[in-house]
Amino acid sequence: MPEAPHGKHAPHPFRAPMARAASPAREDLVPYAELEVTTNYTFLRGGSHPEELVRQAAALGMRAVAVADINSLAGIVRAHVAAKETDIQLLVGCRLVLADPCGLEVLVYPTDRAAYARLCTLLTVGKRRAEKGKCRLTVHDIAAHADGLLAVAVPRERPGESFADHVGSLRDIFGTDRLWLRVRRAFDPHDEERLASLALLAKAARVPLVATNAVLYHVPRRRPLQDVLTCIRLGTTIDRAGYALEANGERHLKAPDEMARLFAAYPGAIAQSVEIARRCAGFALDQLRYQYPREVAPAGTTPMEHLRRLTAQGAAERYPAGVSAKVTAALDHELRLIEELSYAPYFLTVHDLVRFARTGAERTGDPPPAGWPGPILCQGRGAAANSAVCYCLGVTSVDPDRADLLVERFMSKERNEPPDIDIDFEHERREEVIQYVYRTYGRERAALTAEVISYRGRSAVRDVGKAMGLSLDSVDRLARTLDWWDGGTVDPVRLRGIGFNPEDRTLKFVLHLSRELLGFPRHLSQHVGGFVITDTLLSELVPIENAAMADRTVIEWDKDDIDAMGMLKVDCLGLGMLTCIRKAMVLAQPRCEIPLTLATVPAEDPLVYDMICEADTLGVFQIESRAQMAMLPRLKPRRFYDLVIEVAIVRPGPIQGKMVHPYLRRRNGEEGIHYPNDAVREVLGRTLGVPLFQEQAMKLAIVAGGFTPGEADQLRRAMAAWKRKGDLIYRFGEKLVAGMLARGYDTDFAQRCFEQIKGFSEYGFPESHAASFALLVYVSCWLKRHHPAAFAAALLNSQPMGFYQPAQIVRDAQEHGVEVRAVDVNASGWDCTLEDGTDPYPRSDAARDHVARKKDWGLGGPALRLGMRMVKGLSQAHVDAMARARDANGLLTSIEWVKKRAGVPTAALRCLARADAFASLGLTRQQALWAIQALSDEDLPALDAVQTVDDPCGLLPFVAPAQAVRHDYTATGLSLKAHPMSFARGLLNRLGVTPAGKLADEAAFPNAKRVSVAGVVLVRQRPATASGVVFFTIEDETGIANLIIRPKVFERSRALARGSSTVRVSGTVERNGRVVHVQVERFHRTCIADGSAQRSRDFH
Amino acid sequence: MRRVVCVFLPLWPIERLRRRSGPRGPRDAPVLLAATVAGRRLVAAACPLALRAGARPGMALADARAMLRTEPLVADAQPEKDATALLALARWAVRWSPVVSADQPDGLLLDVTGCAHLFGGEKRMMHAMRDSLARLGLTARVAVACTVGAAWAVARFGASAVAGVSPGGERAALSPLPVRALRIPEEAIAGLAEVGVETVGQLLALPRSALPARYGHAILLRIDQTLGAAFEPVDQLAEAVQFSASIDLPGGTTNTEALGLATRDVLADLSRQLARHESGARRVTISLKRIDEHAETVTVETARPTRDAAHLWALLRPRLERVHLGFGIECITAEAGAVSAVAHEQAALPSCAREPRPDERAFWAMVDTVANRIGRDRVRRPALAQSYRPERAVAFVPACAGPRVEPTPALDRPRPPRLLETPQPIEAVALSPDGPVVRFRYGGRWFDAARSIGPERLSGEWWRAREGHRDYFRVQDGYGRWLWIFRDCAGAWFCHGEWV
Repeated sequence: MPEAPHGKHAPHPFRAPMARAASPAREDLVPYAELEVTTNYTFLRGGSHPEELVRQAAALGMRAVAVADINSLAGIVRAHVAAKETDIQLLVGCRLVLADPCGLEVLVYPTDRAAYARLCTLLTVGKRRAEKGKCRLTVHDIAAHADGLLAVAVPRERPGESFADHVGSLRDIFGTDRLWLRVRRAFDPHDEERLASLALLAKAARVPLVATNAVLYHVPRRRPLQDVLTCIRLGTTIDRAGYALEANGERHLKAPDEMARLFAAYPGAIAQSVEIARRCAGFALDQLRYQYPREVAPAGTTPMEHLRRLTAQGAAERYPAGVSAKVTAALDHELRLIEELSYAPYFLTVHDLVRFARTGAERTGDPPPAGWPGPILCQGRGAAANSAVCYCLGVTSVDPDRADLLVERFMSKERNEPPDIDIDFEHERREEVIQYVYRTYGRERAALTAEVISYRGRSAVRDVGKAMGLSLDSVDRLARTLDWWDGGTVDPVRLRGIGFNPEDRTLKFVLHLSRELLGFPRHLSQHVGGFVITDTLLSELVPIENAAMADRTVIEWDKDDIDAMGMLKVDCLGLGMLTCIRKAMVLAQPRCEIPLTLATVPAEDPLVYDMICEADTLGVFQIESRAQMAMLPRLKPRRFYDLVIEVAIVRPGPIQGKMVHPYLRRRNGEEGIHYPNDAVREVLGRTLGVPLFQEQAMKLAIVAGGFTPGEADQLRRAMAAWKRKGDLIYRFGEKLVAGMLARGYDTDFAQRCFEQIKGFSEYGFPESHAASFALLVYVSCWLKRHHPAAFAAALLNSQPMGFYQPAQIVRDAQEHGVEVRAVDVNASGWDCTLEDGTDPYPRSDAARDHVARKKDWGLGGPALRLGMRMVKGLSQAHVDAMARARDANGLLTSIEWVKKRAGVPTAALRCLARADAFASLGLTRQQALWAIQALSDEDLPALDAVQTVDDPCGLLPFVAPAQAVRHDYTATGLSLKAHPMSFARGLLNRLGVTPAGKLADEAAFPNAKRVSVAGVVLVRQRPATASGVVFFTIEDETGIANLIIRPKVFERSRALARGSSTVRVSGTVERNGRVVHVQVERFHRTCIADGSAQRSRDFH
Repeated sequence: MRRVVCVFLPLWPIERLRRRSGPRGPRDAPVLLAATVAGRRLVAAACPLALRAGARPGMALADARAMLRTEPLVADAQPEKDATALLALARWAVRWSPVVSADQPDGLLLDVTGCAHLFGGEKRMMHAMRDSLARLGLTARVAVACTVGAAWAVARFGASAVAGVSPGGERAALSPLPVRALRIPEEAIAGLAEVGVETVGQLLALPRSALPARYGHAILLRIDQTLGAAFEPVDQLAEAVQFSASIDLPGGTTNTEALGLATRDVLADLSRQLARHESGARRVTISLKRIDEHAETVTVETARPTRDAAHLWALLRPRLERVHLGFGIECITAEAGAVSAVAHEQAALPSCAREPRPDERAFWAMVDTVANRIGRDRVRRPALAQSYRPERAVAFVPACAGPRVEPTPALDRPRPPRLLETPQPIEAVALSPDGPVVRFRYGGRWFDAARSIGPERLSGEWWRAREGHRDYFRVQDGYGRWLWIFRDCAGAWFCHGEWV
């Protein structure tokens, strides 16, 4: 199984600020600035993180340090944040490696904001004309963007004649006052000679020398890792790398005194480093000012006026009966706040995206383009999304009247940070929105943020192991043991167990270096949907490069960098459930009186909550997972806010913070609620005194712990990173507890609050997101309750998504009284559809009611006709061709007819026959396949005619029902005929296996009773919080059983537990209210042929 | 009546490897053979132990490992070697019948018509086959029938490990077996499975005329071959192309002149044969058959494949002189071994007499001459190795192996032509920790350094050993002699070489 999810190994310095360390007194030291530092953002070259380098430079007492990665500014923000912590001056730098003249290297440093913009533009030009991750620049490009840049020409190890020419051409560009020649002590035999010749060259060219140490890592002990990185980059091993490695380990940051000693003969070269730093002091990344796009407001109006107008319009539409006083007050208040913080353009930008999704029009008022397939469903979430303003703008559909959400909880004056709005779009149509953004704002102003792909446990061990010369098999074995390795130290016993000697030197190096490599960036990828949109050219803020995907452009910074720079990001995410909801609404609309949108679905329907309380939620949004389903009967949600809590509570954060049980006890009235004072009641009242949301934790720190809002924000960041920087949160914890004690809270309460806050760690869920999700939960439940056939059809048409397979969705629909009809060439389209009336092509072999009906609210409603999309291997083009032929000529009457009229190739016909889709032609699967096998795609009409005459169908062997069901599963992933387990029931009864449906009977199966169950594995899940416990959901023809497998049991029966699609287990019953589990003790060999069922969905 | 035996070796690749390398590792460890397919390590074969635990050929090696309780022995699959070894096994099986062929990849076919009675009847013969294969460490299933197809099918899919199909009983014997037993293409098997046809019996029930359009014409041939309606031969074991030449000397001779001439003729003949196949040999064996039937053999090996008769003669001649001729040699045979492709060489025209790289040829000829006298492994040549550590920057590699190895680039750093095998401790005085040397004592005398260039700092190879860095200096003493001295990380001084 893959690794458990965990956070970043190297958190952004912005997320994990360091305590300020004392630097040596600068005045005593020789003034020196290291200007040539390559970080690990020059992938597989630099051996240290940018923040490590900056902190070390500060600790050594340097005046300044410049980060200069190859053709990139990707690591600069991390360096900048680290530099601000330490007071050292950071020079933004870049090492330009030119394609023409080939290999010429120039270090450049912008001296002001304009020069920085030119540098970004230069890099953008070079990157946009090369493939992803590459940059192609020539000396002419530099010439075009050179104003305000300082340049240092970097000679090769043995500078040749041509270097003098290159210096000449660079001097033509930069003049003599902005160009330097770099000298370095490489500790090779040519040092003196090279220094002397460069000094001569510098003199002749009238440019000064500047000394650097060409730093690759911050401390000498990083050298082995840098060697290994070189091996990984070149795909070789350390034994064979030879001269590709550095000859010595001198390329670390050296103290100013040491540098001065090394360049004692050239004191000017040391002084010039400080001179360059002085001339660059006019620029720091802080000067980058982010500007919201301005065209969102029509000419002549300010964004604020426009926002007010749009909000008023929206309010009138949302509340046709008049806006309530509560909402009016909220709107006034929010608009005032937005004006004060000048966030109007931001809200308008978000509104513009939503408007496009709703109308498809390029500009307000335009008609949608021809062929527009209809509105794209979308829903905003995040800090500012659940405001009344956003409701009126249509960004969200959570009615502020209905949910008790105050915007201050999400957006405050003190936290001067752009409000956070993510918009979820239908996943199948998100690309349309993305291309709209590029079209509207242009590729110079809009781009996706990057995602830094870093080394994690397995990839690190794999690459290091290979570089250290371990055999592929050894690397495999070692990487495989990482389930337990990642957490901490390596267990020598386990190492021996897999055939390694823990004392082996090479192995020790592999383990040590792998651990150092964790968190190293490996390459840049694109963020799933985080857009940065600017008013001025984005390419002047940060270099833009091509993404691996066609038509995508990506900036070099990731979301942490963007946050640190205070830049706006709109997340355009894809959400499968929105696709499903839209499709369900389209199907249900003809059978529904009210217009169906996210906002108009009738609110607070008790029937829907009844269904939710029974955990009858297969397929709906969020609360369909096993853990969620187990919680529903205990939480008994009866109103919208209960759903908000439900969504947030079944999360690793609250579970680890042990908040779930106190909340449940209090909700059920088993425990009293006591608030120390009204201020705390204000914060925790909604959640019965238990902090469940991130916002509450912060607010509590302010109200009870005496934190400033800024500190509370730091606390939030520390919460996200405490596993990596454990000490930090404990410092905050001490402060929090002390603050609470000082304000008269008792120790116990304070300690408990801190424990709970710590529990949030990486998984805390913000209330603002939960509210948006809860709405989708409610809407999907409403559809499932009132339009079960439409909902099931939409789910099937949106696959793959969610936890469940088509087979379970179909079965669930049947259990609710929906008639499900088989795929048929004469009745089905590509998608699943709804049919009224009786089945025109009833199946003789289909056991109509082999599923026990649990609920009958689907009875009398439309039937669900499975679409041909369920048929594996079939392409939509062929299905459409067939549908067209059907429309033009009436019903299909023979296979040859389908082939000729619709032009469908035999391969596609074969898929259809395998799915038993020719029943309306009177053909069984076997007969249809026999007929198709005789057809050929080459046009031989005469032969065809002859072949179809002989009909030996009577001679074909008999196909047993179990076999037919197996073929159904192979072809469509489900069978309407019978459940595969039903054929083994006789054998299972003899083995004493209990049908899963009987477990619900408490009298027959009390707690701790031994039981044996068997079934098809639907889901395997290993939650990160469950310390290795694996959860299985299995199904037989009578129902579903939930299995709990302890790690020891799982290990013992690995082969059976991991691979097989059907399992037979024995164990004991565990009842918790209405929820029944089987605690597995043993896996048995199944008696059923494997492969009779579908593959399970495995989550980790 | 024709009778054919099919021997099926279900575990051939694994057991072959076991046979070759002997029992390695714990006896109860499962064995997996792995192959790398598109960068992934897949299981190519698995022993019964591993199969029982759920490992299957074709699955990822890591998955198979996860299923096994104990750490398996993993070796690389070597299909070519399996195939060659199977040929050898077929040759060995000639003891049962003169007509034997290797049924790649994992079986043997023997035409035993008229042979069985020699071994006490078919049943005894088959058991004897199984037993002798078992003594070789090979698991076998044996079947006899009137056709190759029927024997093949029953050996692989029959119920018992030793089985016979009586004449005319093919249809009955094969009916319950899966259609795969007919050796028909995979697509046909899949197509038949689709319409529910799983066994040979079900297939034979279908009308013959309906089959070719659906499953190809080969299916009918296979059915006919299996049931005896069409003949299928057992291919005779084809011998690989052999390069050999011989000459008869009727009556025999002890005249060395005559023998020399004859040998050169034989070599020339061999050379022509090799040239026809654009090949060269790295081993040539001359056998001299004496009148008393005893054969003296002389073998020479060359560093590179050659078909140069003159060169071979030069290598052979000194060896032939030592051969004991007895009462005379009556036949000389030359055989070529370790043959590989050598491109055709254009003979130089006399007018533009440009011998193709004569010095290189001469060099390899010299290597061969020496190697054939003192042993191949003893002729070595120095080669550059990529290491910053001076003592590891040179390595001695076998001269005969690997003329194709990429030459290591020389380091662009001054290195003394004479490197001391072990650095000699000396005393030296420098002004600063990494500064130039001013005085040093070498060979018992103090010298003032006239010039001192350095330091060149070279790190140790941390992955090999705990080695510190060294600072190397090129130092010139008062007599103009350049020495290469270094200071190790502990501050001790050594001399490591000299420019002479």
